[in-house]
Amino acid sequence: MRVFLALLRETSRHLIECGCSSNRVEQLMMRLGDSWGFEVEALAIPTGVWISVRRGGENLVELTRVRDWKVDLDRLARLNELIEHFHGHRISMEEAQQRLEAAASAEPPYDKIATLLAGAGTSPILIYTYGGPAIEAMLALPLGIVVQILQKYVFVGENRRYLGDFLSAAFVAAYACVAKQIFPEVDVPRLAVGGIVVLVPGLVMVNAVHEVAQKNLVSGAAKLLEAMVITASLGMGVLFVLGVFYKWA
Amino acid sequence: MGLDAVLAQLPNMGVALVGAICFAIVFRTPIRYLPHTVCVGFVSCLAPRYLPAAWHVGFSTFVAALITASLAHAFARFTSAPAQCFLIPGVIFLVPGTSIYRAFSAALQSQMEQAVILSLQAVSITCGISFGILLANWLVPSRKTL
Repeated sequence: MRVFLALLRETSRHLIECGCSSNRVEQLMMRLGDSWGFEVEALAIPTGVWISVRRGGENLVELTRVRDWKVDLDRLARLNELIEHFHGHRISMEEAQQRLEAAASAEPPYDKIATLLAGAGTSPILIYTYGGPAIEAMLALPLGIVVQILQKYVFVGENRRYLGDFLSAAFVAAYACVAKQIFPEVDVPRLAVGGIVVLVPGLVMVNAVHEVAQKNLVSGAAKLLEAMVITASLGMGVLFVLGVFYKWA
Repeated sequence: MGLDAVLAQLPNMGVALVGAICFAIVFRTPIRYLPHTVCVGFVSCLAPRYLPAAWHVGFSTFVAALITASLAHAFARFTSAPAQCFLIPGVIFLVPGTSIYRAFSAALQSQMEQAVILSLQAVSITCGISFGILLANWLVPSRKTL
């Protein structure tokens, strides 16, 4: 029973860390419990999961804390495969534990350069879809690369997340203001929005509403708050720079 | 639709394709599911452009999200992959990032009327996406695991 609970705890933590919704995590834990003859109750929120496992008169409860989360679909697919095998009793608990560790430490499917270029490529594409001219789309490419480097390699860690958003946004705005001085046809707000929009927590907001719609009120509220804090960090970063720029200009 | 009209749409289609590939890589989509994910992203990026312009932005986003999520769930059933693998990189094209940012920016510049309009637009888009996904869950039921 303890081994099963430890496995559920680790699985749920990995699922939340790679972007699975709280609702899904709770359902999965209960389904795995049913499959292995345990009565399982789970409460998942973006920062932790409580799991209770019961059989006969014995009841165990454990909490796992989640400190970092991002969308990692490759890891999610690996976990999905593992859960399907474990649910169908095609692998033992020990084997599931080993495969869980392997899934957690697996190499990402794309190398760093491909990921940086792909992340950077989203800014010019968004500028184009906003109706920006070719010069703005071209200016957005280096902007996208720098923002990706800042987000993925410089401001890494739970304490630097919002600072990273603030400074990335300030950098984007400063870059747009300098570009305006060199190329007067550049629209500063459009270039700034194009550079920053990949950081705006639109997906977090959608997930939050989705959680609320499924009556996961705590998770939904927590994600809404996260979206608001990120938006505030980004907005303050841009406005700090634009305020200085428009005062001088 | 004539050949000229099709050719006129090629830049949009090219941008949608490149955008779908970029977001699929950013979200670390497994390589074996990359073609499916790019297909969902491509449809999601183009869908709002071909829906009637007279529709309310929230409703057209709802329809686009419904199409995207239904396609994602269909691929999930077909490939045994989690639906999120196709849904997240697809739905990212619909999320109201610009509206949220512009609303916040307007609020900080004391342009409250503009801020309220943009906020309501962001809320209607967000709800449109969410309910589009929920309806797709019902129309094309998701798989039992992830």
